[in-house]
Amino acid sequence: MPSNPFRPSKFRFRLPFHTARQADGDLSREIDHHLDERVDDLIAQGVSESQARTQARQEFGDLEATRRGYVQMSERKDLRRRQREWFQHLLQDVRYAARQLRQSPGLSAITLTVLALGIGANVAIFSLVEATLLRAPSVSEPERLVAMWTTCRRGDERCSSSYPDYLDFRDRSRSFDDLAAYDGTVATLGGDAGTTSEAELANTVFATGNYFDLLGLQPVRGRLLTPADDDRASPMQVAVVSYRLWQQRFGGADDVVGSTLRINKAPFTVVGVLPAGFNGLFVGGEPDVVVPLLTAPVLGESGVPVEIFAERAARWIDLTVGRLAPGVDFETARTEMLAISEQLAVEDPEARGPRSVHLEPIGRYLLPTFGGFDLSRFLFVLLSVVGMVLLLACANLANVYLACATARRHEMGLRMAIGASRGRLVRQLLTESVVFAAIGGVLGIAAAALSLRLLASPQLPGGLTLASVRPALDLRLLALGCLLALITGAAFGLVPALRATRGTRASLQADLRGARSGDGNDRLHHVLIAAQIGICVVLLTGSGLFLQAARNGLSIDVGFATDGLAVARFDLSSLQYEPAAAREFTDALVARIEALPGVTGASVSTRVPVTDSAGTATMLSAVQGYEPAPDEELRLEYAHVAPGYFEALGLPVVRGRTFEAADDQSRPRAMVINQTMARAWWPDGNAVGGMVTLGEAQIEVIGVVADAKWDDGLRVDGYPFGFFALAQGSEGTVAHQRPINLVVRGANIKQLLPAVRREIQLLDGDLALSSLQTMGRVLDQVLAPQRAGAALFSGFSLLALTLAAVGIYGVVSYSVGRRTREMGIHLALGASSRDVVSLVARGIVIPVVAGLAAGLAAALALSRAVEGFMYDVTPGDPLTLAVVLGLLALAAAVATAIPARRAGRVDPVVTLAAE
Amino acid sequence: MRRRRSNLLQGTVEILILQMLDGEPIHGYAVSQAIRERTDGELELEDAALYQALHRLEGRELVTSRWGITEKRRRAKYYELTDAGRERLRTEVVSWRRYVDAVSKVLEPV
Repeated sequence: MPSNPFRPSKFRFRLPFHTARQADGDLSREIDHHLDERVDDLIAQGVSESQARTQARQEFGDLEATRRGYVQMSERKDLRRRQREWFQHLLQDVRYAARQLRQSPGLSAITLTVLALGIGANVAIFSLVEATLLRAPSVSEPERLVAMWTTCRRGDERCSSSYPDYLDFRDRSRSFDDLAAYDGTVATLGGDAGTTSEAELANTVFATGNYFDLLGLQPVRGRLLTPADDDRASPMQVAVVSYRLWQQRFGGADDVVGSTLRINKAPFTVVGVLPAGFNGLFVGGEPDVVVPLLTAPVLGESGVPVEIFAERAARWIDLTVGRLAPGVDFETARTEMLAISEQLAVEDPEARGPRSVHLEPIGRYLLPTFGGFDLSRFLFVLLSVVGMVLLLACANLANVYLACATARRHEMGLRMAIGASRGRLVRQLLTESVVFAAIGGVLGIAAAALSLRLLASPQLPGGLTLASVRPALDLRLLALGCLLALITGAAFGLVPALRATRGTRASLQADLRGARSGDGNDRLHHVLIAAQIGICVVLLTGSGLFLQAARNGLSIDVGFATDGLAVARFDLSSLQYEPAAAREFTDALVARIEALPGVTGASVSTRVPVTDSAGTATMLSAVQGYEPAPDEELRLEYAHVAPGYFEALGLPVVRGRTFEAADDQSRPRAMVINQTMARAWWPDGNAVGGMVTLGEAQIEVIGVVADAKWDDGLRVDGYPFGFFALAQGSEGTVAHQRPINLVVRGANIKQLLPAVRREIQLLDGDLALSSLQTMGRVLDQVLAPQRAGAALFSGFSLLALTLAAVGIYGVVSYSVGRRTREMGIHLALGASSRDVVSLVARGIVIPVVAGLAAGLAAALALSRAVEGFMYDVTPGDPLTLAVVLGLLALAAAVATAIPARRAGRVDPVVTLAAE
Repeated sequence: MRRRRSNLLQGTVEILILQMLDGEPIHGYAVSQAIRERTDGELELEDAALYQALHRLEGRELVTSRWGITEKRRRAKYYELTDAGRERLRTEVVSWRRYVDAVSKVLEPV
């Protein structure tokens, strides 16, 4: 027989001590009772007592197994009880929180607003970051895809590749399963039977036949392109359409496969539909139509004949995409491609020249380049702003709750006195702040969802719209929102909760007497104030810089008269216009528009300032009378323009004359140059009449015009720029110059736009205008990032400033309230009320100054990050900093003055009598 | 040995106990007595197995227990059905009857 079946064993470690002891006691008592009863029965049957005991015990059976079962059951019961209790406490705490919420509706409203703004802004901006920087293209195994493009000599500038280049890289490399080439353009879809049949512009992609196979895409209808479609001898005029286009243009009809789609007036047979999720490889670059690369000449791409596929110097392909062979890593592939590039340069130095290649993994969407604008940096700045706002909100709420919690020490003391543990009270207070944060989080997520929906119009630079990058609040972002709410709740709730419950009944009694004059809370209040002031400095400095940049951007001299100007861009070559017909078209168009009432000038050209994202440049072989330095290139940007262009654009003519209708093929070639070019190559100032050599041609400079900002980022300053007459170019025709820009000048330009549009449609209904807008609107778009930055920063920093001021006010008035008695004594002992005011104010000076200093240091460090989109603004701009510091000091002074004055008016008699 | 070892299935023990508890709260010894009386000693249940079953049922919240004083002025643990226990007893009885009927039909001479 075992010595003691109830001996304590391992289960003591699994149960709380009292539970284990109780379990043992309970069981042994229960079994004792059973045995006693049985012994009674046996004795009644005549068995002797000692024998009865032995028999009863033997009959009972396995005690140890019974004990094990009982312990198991007790454990289970205990766990369940504790879970139930925990949940009940939670419910209770939530009820407390709800009561708190109702009891001080003002405080609650402020808390929730602050939280909703903080969390909502973070979720919204993060969803944008997710959609642009973190999302992988929806293709199979994107991490094995590599993008490759040609780089020109200077730095990492992105250039185009030629078809022979692509073939050589594809055939010589061993690192890739396959390489596909890819080029994008905008083409006109139009006039198809069975569709809406309205002309529309579509993002069109030329891709080699292996492109989709390489991406691992499956069609939702029909088939995708195959190498057979992209046959060199006879490319097939077939097209794959996007899911969106299928739904919108073909109404999602099943018979889309086999129907004819006219692309730039050339008939293509639709063979399949792309999956809905496929959004191209670039951020926001959703392709509408994909056709075989070798059909490019059919679409008039580059207006170049079939020979482009044989010429290494004919560079027009945007991107090469490769899928890494199994086991090959990115670095190996990169090394191999660079080596092939060097081989090519040796074999064909003339055509390859100094060109090299750049490779990039496609684990994430590729970022398009917009005039040097750095989207990831912009988003990083936005993320830091919203992060700071949330941090500030936490500091602010922590301060408020710290004051509230101290005020609630009575309540806490009473609850402790009637038996609540400190942990229980901390939990209650934490539950309160987390409940607040959760409600704020829900409001914030709702606000984020709403704002993402409302802001679908162009918001991002470079023509990226929120709609095209498709930000979505998916589960991960909801989780982020919840996590933020939890962290926020804990962050602003924990310290106040610990503070409020610290101390014993003795300190409670002291509190009741109001005897304690200062405690550690003062220091904490001050640290939090300093933190808020610091964050404020950073945000205000940021908004100051952005505001200045936006204003500088607006006042920037683009070199021509932007008021009363409209531009439209269209592409004649894509509509199969022969050169002569294109010329006729533009002449007729300009004549019709000039005839419109209110129009004071109209012309066409290949380029318009401010709107250019990709320039055209050429190299002069000589400038008469100018001796170039050994390394100097006579490189200039150029445009072809029609007569009346400079007048319509409002670009001042500085010297000489501009083109007139008579400047055609019959006359010697002439050019107009800008001031930078005149100064550079005719230092003596005699540019007009000078001769330059371009290829074989001798060209005379007939006039000099003012410099203008051409690039769409407004950042590049003067470089040599030459203008040739459209009627005279060596190409001699309009059609090869694509696209064509129409410029229209008129006093009331906005009202003229419909009439201009009508005239264009009358001349060719198939012409889908990609952009007819006023120059003012173009500039607005160019300045969108600065504007968005300024608006966001200003909004958030205004909020921050208000929060910080309210925070200071709250802390000072709280401390005044608590020190009323002390003030009363001071006054009774003869201090003037001014002394008292300065006593109160002195307390707040140190944290404010510390916050200002810390914020200043942080602002200086962080503002380097935003330099990228600043116009003539220096990050350490003293004026901005002075204004920011002054503004904050003023806010702090006002927030302190109000409660401090109240302290000075304390009536000593009343205060002391109250004791 | 006066008693035979019980070969009752666990489920059967539990349904018997539930049935015994359907009424006034009783203690463990009374349950064992009641089973013995109701079956005229045909079915005998080892005490350890009885208590283990009681504790299992308590763990599953089909019965609850509390301490009480017996007629003999002794402290004993009284067991009682919970609502869930009563519900379980009802369904177990129905399915037990169905089972017995089915087995009887097979065993009856054709």
